[in-house]
Amino acid sequence: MSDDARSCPLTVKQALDLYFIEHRAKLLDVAALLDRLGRAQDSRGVQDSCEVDDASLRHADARLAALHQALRVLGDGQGDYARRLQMSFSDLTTDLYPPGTRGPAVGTYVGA
Amino acid sequence: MRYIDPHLHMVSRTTDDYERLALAGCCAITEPAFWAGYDRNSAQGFFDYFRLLTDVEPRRAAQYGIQHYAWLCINPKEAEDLTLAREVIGLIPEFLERPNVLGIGEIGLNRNTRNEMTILEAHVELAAQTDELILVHTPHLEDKLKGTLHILDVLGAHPKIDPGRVLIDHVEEHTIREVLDRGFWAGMTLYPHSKCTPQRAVDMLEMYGDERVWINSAGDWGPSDPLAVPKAHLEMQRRGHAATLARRVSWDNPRSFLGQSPKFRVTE
Repeated sequence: MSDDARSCPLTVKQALDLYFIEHRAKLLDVAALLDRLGRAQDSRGVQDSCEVDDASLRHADARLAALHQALRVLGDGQGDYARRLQMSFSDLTTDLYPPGTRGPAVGTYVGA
Repeated sequence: MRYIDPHLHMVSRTTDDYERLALAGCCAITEPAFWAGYDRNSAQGFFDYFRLLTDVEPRRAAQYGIQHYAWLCINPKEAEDLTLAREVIGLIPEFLERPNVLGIGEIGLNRNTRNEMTILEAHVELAAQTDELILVHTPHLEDKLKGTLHILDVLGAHPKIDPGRVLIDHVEEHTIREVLDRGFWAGMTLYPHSKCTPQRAVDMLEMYGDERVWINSAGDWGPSDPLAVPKAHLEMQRRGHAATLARRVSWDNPRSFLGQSPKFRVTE
């Protein structure tokens, strides 16, 4: 197998027959999450980001921004979506961190 | 189809899962040393864990006709304590002679800290001295790309490490190409939420080929599925791939890589 431009053995119709219903549900999950965030107690609307010092709220902003960036990637028509989505969530810095300075991973880069 | 799951943490699974694996056709597994869900605070804790991996689990697996192999290390999540980590690494050589131990693993990075790197390098040095196979854990989530690149650099720079004897596990869409291009083996882990799905794994096989690639479930104490590998085989079938693809990634390739250890003997 090579040349990823035509590496899927299915036709478009066949792929949609297999996967559309499942991924329609996954998209609805994402949509519902965005609505839920909009209904959250401290929501200022999903487009806003707060200027905060608290680390946990900074995380919340970063994850919200990451969600919206992910949706922009998926909607930009440039392809290579899975890899580019992974990159959008990734820590792109290069230096190793000092010992004992990092808590658990949160799913998107939130800064040092 | 008989298959091999080369990454399963059976210490965290009930014996029922051995039965399910056997019914699904699994005939061999390899179990890397990993984080048990809490930070151990003594080398004795690891000594007992290594006994479990090399004595108890092989016997438990054998009840269902499954061959059990193990890898040994102190995992990256517990590598921040350098004193403890070095003490644990000092325990490993006596266990390397056990009949089911294939090599050093799953070593790697967790949150990409300097202490984690120090211990990774110590493991690599041990593996180089004893010519062991190496199984690598790449970090989760946002840390994966950065950690993978650091790991590949360390391994690639060591004059005695042959990339053909190193399996870089948990590759995803943004790391698989670099791993394969540098001559290492690549493992795709079918683990919900934090790693890969069967569908995405088959996508990557279609895009990057099936050379030097395997799939595994990494079933452990978190939400995971020890039958993820046969489910990936089903996904291949749904797309019309020949049965040879499933055989390649779940039989031929694991036997090729693991068979580089004279201890690994899995026959048709």
